[in-house]
Amino acid sequence: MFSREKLVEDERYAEVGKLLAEPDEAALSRAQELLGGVKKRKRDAEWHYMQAAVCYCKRHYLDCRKQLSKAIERDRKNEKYKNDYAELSAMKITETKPAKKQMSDENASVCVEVCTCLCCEGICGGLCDGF
Amino acid sequence: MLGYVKYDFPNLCIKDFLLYKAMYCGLCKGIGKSCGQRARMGLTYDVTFLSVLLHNMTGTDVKIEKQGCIGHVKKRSIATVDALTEELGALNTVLVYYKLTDDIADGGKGRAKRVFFKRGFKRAKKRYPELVKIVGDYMTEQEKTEKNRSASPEMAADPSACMMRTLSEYFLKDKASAATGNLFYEFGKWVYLIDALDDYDKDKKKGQYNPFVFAYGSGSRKELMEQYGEEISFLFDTSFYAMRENLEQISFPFNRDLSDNVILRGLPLETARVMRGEPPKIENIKL
Repeated sequence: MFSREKLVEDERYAEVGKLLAEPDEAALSRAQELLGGVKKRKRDAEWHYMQAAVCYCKRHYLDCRKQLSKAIERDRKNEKYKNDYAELSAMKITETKPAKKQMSDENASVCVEVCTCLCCEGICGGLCDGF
Repeated sequence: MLGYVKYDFPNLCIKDFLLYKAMYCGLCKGIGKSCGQRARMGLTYDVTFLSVLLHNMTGTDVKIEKQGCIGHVKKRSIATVDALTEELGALNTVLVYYKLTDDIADGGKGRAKRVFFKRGFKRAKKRYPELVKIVGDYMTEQEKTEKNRSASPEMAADPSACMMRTLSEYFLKDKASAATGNLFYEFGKWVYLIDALDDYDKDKKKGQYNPFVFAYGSGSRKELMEQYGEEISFLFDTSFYAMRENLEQISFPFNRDLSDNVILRGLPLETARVMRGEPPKIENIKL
């Protein structure tokens, strides 16, 4: 049912998958080496998908998208490829907003608390106009 | 590849603008202290931004004092030079020196200019050998990648991006994390790619290596944007997205408004300008 070559490739992809679980520089280099060892004519949808995963770990998002496109071209029914492609395509900023709650916001909340306290005690002398 | 890192002025608070100016002048003085007065001519916005970012990330408080300056009659508010500023001054000189060396290797002008920075470079090498080695090694790697004519802009940008990541680890030491490394990686990638996109027409005309020319081969930058604009936008959009994602995971001991303004607004604005093919905006804002 399975050819020996196919089994070897599956083993190769499984090893690439393991390497990508902890993608440090050495693991990525080894994964690339393993994928590079597959002959061009033997590069199927899964090969391109694995190559896309390597590109993603290397933070090469455009190359990753190109490889995912090739994987989808070769296996149009695969939902995993399509979902990952859609997720990657959504990686854009549609609005510009602060990255996180700002240090200044935290300070501002402390400031409001202090002001409220002063107001209650009437220290501000009515400057805040009743807050 | 220097001079693209800018703030978005309409969305910048006055306090942050004054801080940026003080850091800019402080870095200039830092260059003078670590690499000599002549090297101050190479002062860049890019390293000024790194100074802003790294002072915050390392928790190094910035002290601003009224100081005199060789280029200005009146005293002005300048960040006092600390050890980090001096080291960043050396980084500025080393980057300018290697940029000029690269220009010369490409057959361009720069030999006379480089003479100005030679002594400064030597001083930096003597004082910060590890820093200079990091930059030198990655510059060699960048040269190799360009000689191999990489057809992928991201692969071409990889050595510059990795250099920024390694530099972040060097400066941040125990405060370095995966998020800071990734942020600096994306920043380095952006600096390389925006310069390559801006130089498209010039490199195409001179027949010099440019990853965009090699990957797409359009007649001009205008044509490139018409034919492959979506792909180029994706390239930068994903980088901005990754920067924001990593920025969210970094804790800043001080106010981060200025670095957020540059990363989240300044860089995308500069990218849009380069994509439209507009000349750089010269801002001379006085408060």
